[in-house]
This record gives sequence, structure tokens and C-alpha cells, in this order.
Amino acid sequence: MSDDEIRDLLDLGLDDDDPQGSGARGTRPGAHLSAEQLWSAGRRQRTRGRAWFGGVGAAAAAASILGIVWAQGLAGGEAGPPPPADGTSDTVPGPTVEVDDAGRGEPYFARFESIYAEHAEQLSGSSRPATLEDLQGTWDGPHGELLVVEDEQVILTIANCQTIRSSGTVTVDGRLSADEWEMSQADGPDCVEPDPAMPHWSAIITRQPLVSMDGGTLIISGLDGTTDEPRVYVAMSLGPVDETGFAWADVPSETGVTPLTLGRDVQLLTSGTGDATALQSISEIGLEDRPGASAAAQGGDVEALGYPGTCPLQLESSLRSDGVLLVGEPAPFVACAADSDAPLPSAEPSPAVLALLRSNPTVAFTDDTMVISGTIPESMLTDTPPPVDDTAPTSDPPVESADPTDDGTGGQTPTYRDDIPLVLGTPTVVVMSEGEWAPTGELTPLTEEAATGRRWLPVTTESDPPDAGADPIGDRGLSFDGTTWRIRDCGIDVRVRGWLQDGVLTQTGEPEIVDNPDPGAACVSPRYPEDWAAMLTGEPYLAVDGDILVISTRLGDGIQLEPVGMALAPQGEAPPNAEMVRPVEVEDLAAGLVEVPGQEAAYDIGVSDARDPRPGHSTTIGWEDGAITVDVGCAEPLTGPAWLSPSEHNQSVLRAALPEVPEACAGAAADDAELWRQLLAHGATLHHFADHVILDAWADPAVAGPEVLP
Amino acid sequence: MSDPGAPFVAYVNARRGALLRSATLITGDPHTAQDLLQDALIKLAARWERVGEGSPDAYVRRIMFHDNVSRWRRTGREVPVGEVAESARPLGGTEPIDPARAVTGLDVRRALAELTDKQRAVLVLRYYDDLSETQIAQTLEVSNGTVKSQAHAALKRLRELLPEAAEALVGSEETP
Repeated sequence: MSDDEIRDLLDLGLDDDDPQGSGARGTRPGAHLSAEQLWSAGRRQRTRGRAWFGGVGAAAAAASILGIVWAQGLAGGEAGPPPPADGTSDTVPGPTVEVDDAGRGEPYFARFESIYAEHAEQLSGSSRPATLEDLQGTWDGPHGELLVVEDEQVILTIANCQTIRSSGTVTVDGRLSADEWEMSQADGPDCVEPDPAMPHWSAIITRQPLVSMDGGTLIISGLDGTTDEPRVYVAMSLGPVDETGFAWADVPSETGVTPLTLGRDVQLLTSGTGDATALQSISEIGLEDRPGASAAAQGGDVEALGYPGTCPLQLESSLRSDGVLLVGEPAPFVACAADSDAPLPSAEPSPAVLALLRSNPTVAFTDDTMVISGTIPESMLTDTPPPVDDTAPTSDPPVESADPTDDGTGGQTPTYRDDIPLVLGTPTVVVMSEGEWAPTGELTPLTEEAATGRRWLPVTTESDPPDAGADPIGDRGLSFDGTTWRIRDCGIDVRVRGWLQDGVLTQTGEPEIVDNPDPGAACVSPRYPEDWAAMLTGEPYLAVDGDILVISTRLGDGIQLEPVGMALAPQGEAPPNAEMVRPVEVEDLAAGLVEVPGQEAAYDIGVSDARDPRPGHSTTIGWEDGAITVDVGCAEPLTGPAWLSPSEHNQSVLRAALPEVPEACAGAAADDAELWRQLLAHGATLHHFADHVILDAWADPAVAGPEVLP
Repeated sequence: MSDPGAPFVAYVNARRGALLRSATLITGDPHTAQDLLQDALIKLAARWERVGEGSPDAYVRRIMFHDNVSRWRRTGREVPVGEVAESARPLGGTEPIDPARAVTGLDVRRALAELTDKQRAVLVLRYYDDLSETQIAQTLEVSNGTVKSQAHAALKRLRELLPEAAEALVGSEETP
């Protein structure tokens, strides 16, 4: 018998010989996207830079939208905002503060559709100042208003009864103007209560509102004059994040316009539809791509939305031909809003940024810089950002108190749920080595001094011993030159500026991804450059064991991790007269530990955040020759290199690289395997409590199961 | 100016059928395979400059394998072929075993579904796509020894599941 016969047998598996058509003979290539469509989709994916941007762009593409993101550590996803990337002070106003004598009040943005329009049109994002001719006709407003323009007669009816009328005109810069407005109020059965959200038209109409046409839609916008607080001129400078041209981040103001710093970093995502978008105007300034078109074709791909950990705000917008930016009210993106299937905490950009964007600012471009100039309330000049949340979680789990009734949250500020801090992304461990594989089983946090000048190569932990493989590109590996971390692999060249403290890498700049660094190279890296960028910017924990480097990080995919607590019972006899609370030693693991049922852990032992992913099954863990073994019921125990390191408060941290693809493992056991892979990739804190070992870590609740409440 | 996407389009048109068949064997479901392959080809397009002149097949296979595992993690293991056991034809007669006639495609798919993801991938890559051990090791990011052991385990398991075809299920590596 030959390999050909095995091939024939496998080929038989493609025969469609069952009534449900499970074979593949009948599935012809091209049933989905054509090769040309695949190419287009792939190129869009390539140009969108970050998958997260693509997701946001896709969501934003449903309308002409200016998305705004409070950067707060783009890939970190943690709760606290970092200092501005440009290193500027947060609160110091510019030296040339100038007050807008005319502008007062709250911003408004109202869309009016012709009464003959079958439905509200989607804004194209590109608009122009309206003329009086444009306004001729009858228009429905967003809150039941009715606007009638006949020749010079302008009549606005509110709530069926209140009428504002005048003989008006439209200025060349698109402002509706009249000498005097006549207001009247009628009584009658048709009168209704005005919508509380309706703009204060009686105040607005006298302040020469901007009237603009976006396709067939009339936009009336401006400041309503309902407050007396002076507004001051400010400007925000933004530079493109990448070549796609629809992601912009704030840059130091060097334009001569009021150099106000706006409190904290901000990123804008611009999107639109069709050819006549505002974005096209942006791209014409010097960018090659047409971001509006590219974003519009992303389809429903929003799976990566929320990668930075917050839900961006979207603002319906339109850029006029004279450079005036019309911006609506902010709202969370639908795909990650509180009532969505994948809710995320809303981004909280500086109120000053929102006020600026909504002030009908002008947009100008200088080289690659976009400058948005407008006004904000004077009081916002002293707007201060919220304090950095020092309690935001790092790679380490919360310290488990010796008191088993302690909830373990340590009083951390709630950021997403009421009871747990925000920890996003699937736990992932990367093992690297710069020499021979000679683990001691204990890790020490990496320092910058110890890292400088070294180069670690990724190793495959599934081989025995773990192997770094070949280096076909000559400089493969992770290195640090004193300021910048760089990962090189086949087709990958990612650099991240950052600093280490207690082993935690904090980025100080955006990751730089070199496009196509190894043209023509035959080798392929198992990871994407974006994965590396995410892992290195996700506040990874780096620790070394001799020549071995272990990186505990998370791969952002929108999963919010939850704390997982377990109790493990020694398989052997507990040492007599042992301390009540003491660290876990390798010997404890080598003797074997067995999972205590969740009910018992929660009720009898008092484990907080207790989980029992598989009631009735007890996982056992052991240790041998520097490797952990975890038996979850698969055909063979999971095993991988592991490190048990002492920690504070008589605790130990267990980290391990378990296989991502469990062998001979299916069903609930496979889920359990994934749970343990995550727990040990993140790092599990262990300590003895009386006769048990308490484990605390973080994992995806989808595999950890619900919390067992005492 | 030449169309930079033309080589990609030509590659897809030439290789899509074969890759789809591999994907179907790996996933056990042609519709899932279509999705898997489509996603992999989109990723290939995104990196065509880097991968196109090298080994796009290897890249696509690697993506499909990893994405299949990820898909399984998200959705849980699905064995769509297991529900149609009744339609399997019994193996019959005393004639010499000829797998191509005696075992149905459904039998094969059911048996493949019983393998682990990695065993199935190794089997398909080794015997259906005719890749070398080294190529498979690079695709799956495992050692050559793992490829060998997985292939051996896969064939052994298939022999148990398809005793009628056991005689055919002896790989060249297993031949004394």
C-alpha cells in the first residue's frame, strides 16, 4: 500500500454522497468572493493598519462620521490614561488666548430633510454653504420642526404652534440672516409639547445659524447663545497615524494657532461613504488613499472593535467646501455601545476636544498636519484630566489576601463592571531564548539594564527541549537598545519605545511597523506584525530565567477577563505544623495538587471569585523537570515549561507555556485546557491557606464558567 | 502600468480548488472551509508582496490551520457529519478491500472528525497535499518529530475507525 492510497481515501472524503451535502465536490471555488474581491478586501485590510481601526472604520462607514477616541494607551486597554504622547503639559493654555466676542452658548446640529424625501438621507460627509435657492421648499426637522422657505419668506414652526418668521437671506458664507424675527404662539388642539431635545430655535435663529447642504440634506448648526460664558479660540493639531488617512492623532501644536493642549491624547477616525466625502478632501491634501472608500467597503467586520478597551464616540459630521466642519452630538459606536452585544466602556475624551469639534470649527491642512480651529468655553482652559488610575491592573493578578473572605479587588476603581477592573485580551505567553535551554524554574523581572544589548529568539515550547529554530533573516528576535524594543522575524519588524518597571513594559510611543521588511523572503512568521505590536504595547510582563525570556501579555480581541479563584488540595500529606499562610514551593507542585470542587472552594474555604468550569471533574496539576503538567481529562496531560517565582505576601506566581492546541482533547476538557492555558499564561498567584493552595488568576469567562457564589 | 493584483488573482484562480479541498478535509464542512479559505486568502492579499514570491500555499495553509483552531475555540467543536450516520453504506462482500469503493466519503469525514485538529491537519498536509515533514512542521510550527508522531497517531486512529481500509492506511514512514 502506498501514500497514494491514503490520498485516494482522503479524496473520498470530499465526495458528496450524503443527503446533507457534507462533501466538497459540489462546492465550487468562487461561491463566495471572487479572486478580485479577495484582493480588494485584503488590500483594504492592509491599508487600514490596525484591525481595530478597520473595525471602527467599518462601523463608522455607515454614515459620515467623525469618530473620536481618547487614546488612553492605544493598545494597552487599561483603565488609566497615560500622559500625552507629545509630552506636553495637560493644562497650560496657550499664550495668545483670544475671546470670540460673538460665539456663546451650546452647540447644535440639526438635519432637515425635504418633505418629499422618502427617508432621511445618509450624509455624504461633504457639504457646501447653502444658498437661499437651496432652501426653497418645505423641510422636516429632527424634532418635529417644519421649515418653509418661499422666496425670502422663512417660517419655522415648532410643536405645531410656535412660529418664527422673517424675510431673510443667506450670506455668502452660508448664514441665515434677517433683520428681525417675528415669533408667535398659537393655541389649538394640534399643539404638542416641544421635544426637550429640540434646539432653542428662538435663540438660534437670531444668531445667524450656519446653513449647509450635504447632498439633499439641509444642516443648520451653530451655537445657540443660551449661555453667557465667553468662548476662546483654540486649535488642535493632528497628524495621520498611518497612510490610510482616516486615523489622526494629536501632535504638538507648532502652527502658530493658539497652542492649547487639550487635556489628554486624542485620536480622530474619519470615515465616509462614496466618492464625494469629506475624507476625499482630506486625502487630496497629500494622502494617496481614499479612506472613505476603503472604510466603506469593510462590510460588517467589526470583530476587532474595542481593541483599545473603550468604545469610541462617533459624531456625525460633514466638512464644508469652505473648510467649516459640521459636527453632531457624540454617541458611542453602536457596535460597542452599552446596549450592544459587545459593550465596552465609553471613551471619555476631553470635554474641550468635544466642545472644539462642535463649535463649527475650520479645518486646514499644512503638510501632513490637520489643524482644527474653533472655540471652547473659557472655563475649559483650566480643564484638568482625571487622575491616572494607579490601581489599574498590570500583568499581575490582584493580590489575594490571606483572609479568604477578602474579595481580592483591593478597592480598585471600577472601570467596567462594578466589581472588577478592566483587563482585556486573551492571555498569551511568549517564550524566547538567547542561548541554550537551561531553565532553573524561577523568573526575575527583566530590567532595562539587563535587557540592553541582548537578543532573544522565539522558541517553540512544544518541542522537547524548546527550540529557537533557524534564523533565516539574520537578526531574528527581540532586542532592546536602551530606548526601543524591536522584534524581528520573517516579514516582521516592529519597534516600540517603552520603559520597564518591575518587569512591566510601558510604551512611550506608538508602535512602528515596518511594512514588508523582508521582500521575497520564503519564511513566514507565525504571528502578524500587528499581534506583536499589540503584545508589546499591552503592558506585558517580561521576566528572565538565565538566557530565557518569558513574556506574559494579552492579545487584544475584546474579551474582558475576569478573576478566577480556585482551591487546590495537596495529593500528598500536608507537612505537620505548617504555617497557616506560606508560599507554594516547587515541591508542593511536584507532590501534586487536585482541584477542589467549586462549591467547596467557595462555601467551605472562602475562595473569592471561585469558578468550577467542570463540576464533577477535578483537574490535577504536577511538576517535573521544570515543566508543569495539568491533567484536565484529555488523553494526555497538558505540559509545558513553567516557572514558579516568589512574590509578595508569602505568595508565588506560577507562569507556564501550555500548548495552544491540546492534543487528543475535545469538548469540555478542551475548554478546561484553554482555561488553564490562559491562567498560567497570565500568571497565577498561589499561596497556601491552611490545608489548601489558593489560586488566583484571570481568564476569559467563556472558558472559566460562572462565578460560584458562597 | 501592470495591475499589482493580477498575480494574486492568477494564484487564487489556480490554487483555490486544491486549497478548498484541503480546508474541507481539515474542517469537515465545505461551508466552513469556504469561509476559512476566504479569510486566509484575504490575509494573503494583505501580505502579498511579502508572501507572494515565496510560498503562498504554505502561508495560506498555516493561516487556515490556526484560524480553524481559533474558530473551534470560539464556537466549540462541531462535527456536522456525525448526524448522518444512517446514510453510510455498509462495507460488503468478501472481495478484496478497495477503499475507493468500499468506504464512503461520509465514512472518511466521520473518521477525520474523530481526530484532533493537529492530527487531521498533519494527515491532510502529508498525504493529501503531499508536503514534506519539514514543510508541515513549518506550517504547523511544530517539530519534525511531532509531525511524524502525529501522522503515526492519525493513521493508527483511522485504522481503528475505518478497519475496512486499514490495509491502505499505512504510511510510507510506517512501512518497515
